[in-house]
Parts: sequence; structure tokens; C-alpha cells
Amino acid sequence: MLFCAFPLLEAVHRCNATEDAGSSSDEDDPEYLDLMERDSIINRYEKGPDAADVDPWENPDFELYTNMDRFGFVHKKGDKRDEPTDQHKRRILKELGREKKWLKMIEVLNSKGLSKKMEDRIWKGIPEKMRMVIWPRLLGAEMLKVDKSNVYTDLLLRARLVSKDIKQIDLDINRTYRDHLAFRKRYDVKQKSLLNVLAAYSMYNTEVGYCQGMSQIVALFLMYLDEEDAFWSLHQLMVSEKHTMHGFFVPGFPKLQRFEEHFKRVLKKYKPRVYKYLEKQDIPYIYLTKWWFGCFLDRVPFSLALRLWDVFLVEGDPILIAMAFNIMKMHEKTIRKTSMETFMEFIQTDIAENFGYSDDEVMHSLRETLTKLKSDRQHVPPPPRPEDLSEVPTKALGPILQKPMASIREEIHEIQSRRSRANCEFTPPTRFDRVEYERKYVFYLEYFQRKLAVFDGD
Amino acid sequence: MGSRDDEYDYLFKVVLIGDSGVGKSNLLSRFTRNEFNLESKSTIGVEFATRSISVEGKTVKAQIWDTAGQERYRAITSAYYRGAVGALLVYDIAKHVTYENVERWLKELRDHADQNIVIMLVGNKSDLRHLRAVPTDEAKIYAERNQLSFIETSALDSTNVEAAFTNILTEIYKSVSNKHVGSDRQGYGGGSGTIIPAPPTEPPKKQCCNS
Repeated sequence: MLFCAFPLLEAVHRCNATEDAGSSSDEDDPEYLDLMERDSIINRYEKGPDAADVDPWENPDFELYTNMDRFGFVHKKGDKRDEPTDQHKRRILKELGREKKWLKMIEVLNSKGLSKKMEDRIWKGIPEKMRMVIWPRLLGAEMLKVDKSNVYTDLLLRARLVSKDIKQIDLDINRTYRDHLAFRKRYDVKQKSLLNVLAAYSMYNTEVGYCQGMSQIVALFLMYLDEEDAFWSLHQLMVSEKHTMHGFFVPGFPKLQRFEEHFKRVLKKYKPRVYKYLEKQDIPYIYLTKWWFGCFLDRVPFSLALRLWDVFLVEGDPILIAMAFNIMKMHEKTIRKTSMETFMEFIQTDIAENFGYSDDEVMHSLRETLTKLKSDRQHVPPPPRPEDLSEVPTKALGPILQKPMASIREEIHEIQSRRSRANCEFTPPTRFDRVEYERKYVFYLEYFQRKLAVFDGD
Repeated sequence: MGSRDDEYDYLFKVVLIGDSGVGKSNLLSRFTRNEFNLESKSTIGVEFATRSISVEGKTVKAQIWDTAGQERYRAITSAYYRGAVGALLVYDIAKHVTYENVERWLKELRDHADQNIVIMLVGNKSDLRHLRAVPTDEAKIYAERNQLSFIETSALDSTNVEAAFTNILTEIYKSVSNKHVGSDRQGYGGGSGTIIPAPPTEPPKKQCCNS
């Protein structure tokens, strides 16, 4: 898809120096600056990774890495923990053997929904190759995509022109799974997909917009799904009754508070000594934020995180409470010996690198925990109170879709012409390379901004 | 290196704040683990690290809370300002808007932090010479006017990272040890002479190096 490149430059060309000097400076028109910044970011993704002006520091060093694991993550050479163990190899063989069963089962899932047997199989881990089919289906994203064909494309066209979140999204793409082959190269295909999905979503669910943490989730989806599937999977994750992650990411984070309170209750009830210990050490519950906003992504080894996502998509919220508690349960001995500092390091680094138990052991213990919590009706917190911030969207989805592209373009044109009516301090060179020009333009803009500030002071 | 050692004379809580993407987490990892990571991830919520250094013969342990930069996370992060005796307010020398926003971060501190908190303004990414957007002198003058310490750092090439943390911890140590003579092994500070500055007369972006 081709997007109008450099529309802003044209505005600069047309810039007429006969207007009053100093009548307006750029900082007076934040809308114009926003527009220009957005356009420049989009253009970088359009140009892709091989454009000459990608700064070297934006790309991690490829030379250092030689090993890639089966999920696509690259590891430092000689990193021992990534050497496949015999147990690991056995696990892969077993998984490959399961694929045939899964292919049959998918047919059933299509016609009859989720069976008990299928649920059991999911707890054993969805085979790596099947996730691309099973995940969107479990979320109901597949049906939504058919129901709402064109919505994604229409949103995307508009979002790339007007989304106010593009700057933050771009900052975070630069820091999302750069150790994964798909997201390694700046402005490469999957990074562009990540930008597209997040930008489009910011214009769909406008109450959430974009919140840090969402880029990891969408990147995870994009490891398995195409853009449109990833988009609807994200949406379902936000609004489906089982998951309502809307409540985590919406400003004020109402669901986080409610779940944190409940987690404390669960811990106090089933592991009172751990609870008392953490309270005595004055350890804040801040680690729950990252645990839950990404369903344990980056906080447990990736292979385990995938297993947790498999069951999270089936079970929903109870997994968040049960796994948080399960970590405390499985690591009780370590935790009850830690100070605050060692506890935080344990949570942030240690178990993220090596959980200390095999994925199967963790999943087994998690399922037990979940069953216990369910039978005691402790697997989810009490519902939100009426006075609490809403955990689901209250506004119409995708309001921008009501606006025709023509009127969006008109508004943009209006902002541009506002700018071209304003003072123009320099004449663009007659012969120039557009790419080079665009890069320098930002520099000049700030240069003149400063210069104007000096004049103001005189 | 990061120390699990419980032997310390003073324990200071310090927060790292500033706009998203200015390099707060890498400053912290450079200081506590001497690591810089081009693949680092955006901070979700608040993260924590610690390191002890020696100040005038005393062991000072810094508990550093690294916060998410996106605005909506302030609902969570501002709770961590309480009890902090120091704040590193970080901007990116190559992104002018992150410097303009220093003003808003100072207001955050005035609203949520202890009155006596020691604040250091940190211009990070000084290695990006070809992209510099904030002149050193301009930031220095702004810091002086607002009674902040000031330093430029590069977490990438290590320049001044050690100095930034050592300076703020020394400053905190001095203000604390002046008030509490002989009370060893105390947490936090309290009673420092540095106050949170009043709102400056001009926003930072209006000031210029050669005015």
C-alpha cells in the first residue's frame, strides 16, 4: 500500500516569503508540528530498513549473535542456558508428534467449540506451528475479521494520517523484541506491521489509545499472525468478557487495582506466611503491573510465556491471579529468605532467565492452583463497583471511520496552509534530494526556533 | 557492581524520572551492572535496582526506582516519589521536547515528592553529538536558575554515568549528615537543605545559550 509521502514538504515549497516576518513561529502551531513529526515517522517505516539515514545506533549489533532459537530469538554466542537440553529435544519431538492430532481437532473446534479434551491438549501446550490458527480462533478474532471486513484497512489509512499516539508507538517499537529476528532490523517489515496494528487500534478504541505494554502483546501476535488477525486478536483481548485488558490499559488502570487487592487476599488466605513476610519487608506490589499487562511476557522464559498465553486465551483472567499466586507458591522458600532488593532482582531477572522448574512442572502446578482457586471461588476478584472507572469501553469504537478520507485530507491541508501562510525564514535549495531535505528540515526547524527566541529576547 | 551486601551506613531512595525513551533504564543498568542494552525494553510500571558506593568513607546504598515515562503511568509511578531523597530528572539532548517537558516533571515532583528532595537534571545521550538539539549551556543555566544540579551523560559510552549518581548521592549524603550527626544505618534522608524550586519565570524552551 502506498501512502502519500512527503505531503508536508510541498507545503514548505509553497511557502511564501512575502508574508509578514515573525507573525508566527512553529511552536505556536503544535498541530503542525505533530503532523510533521507523524509524517516523518511514517515515512521512515515506508522507506524501510535500507534507507541511508537510519542511524547506526538504532540497530543492535548483528555480529555478536550467531544462535537463533526455535522461536526466532537470537542469543549471544556461548550463552549456555540456550543450549538445547535432552529434555528440551524430547519435548520438541513430542510436540511434533502431536501435530497430527491437532490438525484433526481443529476441524472439531470449527464445528463444535471447545471440548474438554481440547482444553486438556491446550494445557499440554499448543504446538508451535498451530498457534497461528488456534490463537485467533480462541479469541474469536477470526469471526470478527470476517464480520468487519474493511474496518482494519479503513482505520489504518486514517490512523497513519491522524493518530496522536504514533510518536509513543514509534519509541516503543524501537524497544520491542529487538532480540527477535522479526523485529531486529529498524523499520523492517514486521516493525512496520507493529506500527500499523498499534496505530490503527489507537483510533479504534480511543479510550485506551496506545499504552506502553501493548507493543509487546502485538509483537507476540505478529510472530504468529498477519496484521489483520493481530489487530482483531488485540481487540478481543481488550474487550472480550474473559480478558477485558481494556481495564488494565485505560488511563487510571482500574482493573490493576481491583486485581491487586484480590491477589493480596488470595496470598493472605493460602500463603499467610509469605504474605506477612512480604508486608514486613515492605515490598511493594508493583511487579504485578508488568506480570499482568503482558500476561508474564518478559518475566518468565519465553517458552513458558507461550504456554501461559495458550491457557490465558482459553481461561482468561483467572490465569493472571493463579499464575501470580503460583509463582509465590513454587518459590516460597526462596522468597521467604529475600530482602526487598533480592526479591526484586529475583522477580525482574532471575526467574525471567531461568524459572527453576520445567515448563511442564509449572503448568501442572498452575492447573492445580487454578482448580483450587476455582473451587473456592477465589479465581477472580469481586466485580468492579459502580463508582469505579469503567473497565470496558464506554465510547463508540472507531469514531474516525465516520469521517471520509477527503475531509481528513482537507483538515491536514488546512494545517499545512496555516503553516505556509506563516513566516518563512529560508528559501529551499533549488536542487535537492528529498530524503536529505526531510532529514535536515527538522534540524533547521529547531535552529530557527532558537533564533526566534533570541530575537524575542532582544 | 550491584551489591547484595547488607553492610551500609546510609540507605537513600532515588527515583529516575523523565520522558519516555530518554534512556532512564539504560542509565540505571550502566550504573548498577555496567551494562548498556540496545535491545532494552520499555519499562512497564516501575523497576528497581540497587548499588552501594563509598562517600567520604561511609557506605551509601542507593535504592533506585526506575519509572515508566508514558504520561498515563504517572498514576502508578508518582507513588514512588514519596520517601525519595533524590531524583534524577532525565532528558534526551537530541530531543528538544524531552527538555521542554522538564518543567512538567518538576511540577510532578512538587506535587508528589518530599519537599527536600535533591534533584539532578541529566541530559542523556551525549554521544549523539551530530543530533544534539539542546545546547549544554542552555540546560546548565536553566538548572542553575531552578537550583538543580546538572550533568550530561551517555549511558551508551559510559560518560559521566558514575559521576551523575556519585554526585547526587554525595549531595544527599552531605545534606543528611549535616542534620543527623552520628545516626548510623538510617534509611532515607530527610532534612536536606535543598528545596523543590518554585516555578521558574520562563519555560526552558525560551531560554537560549547566548542570551
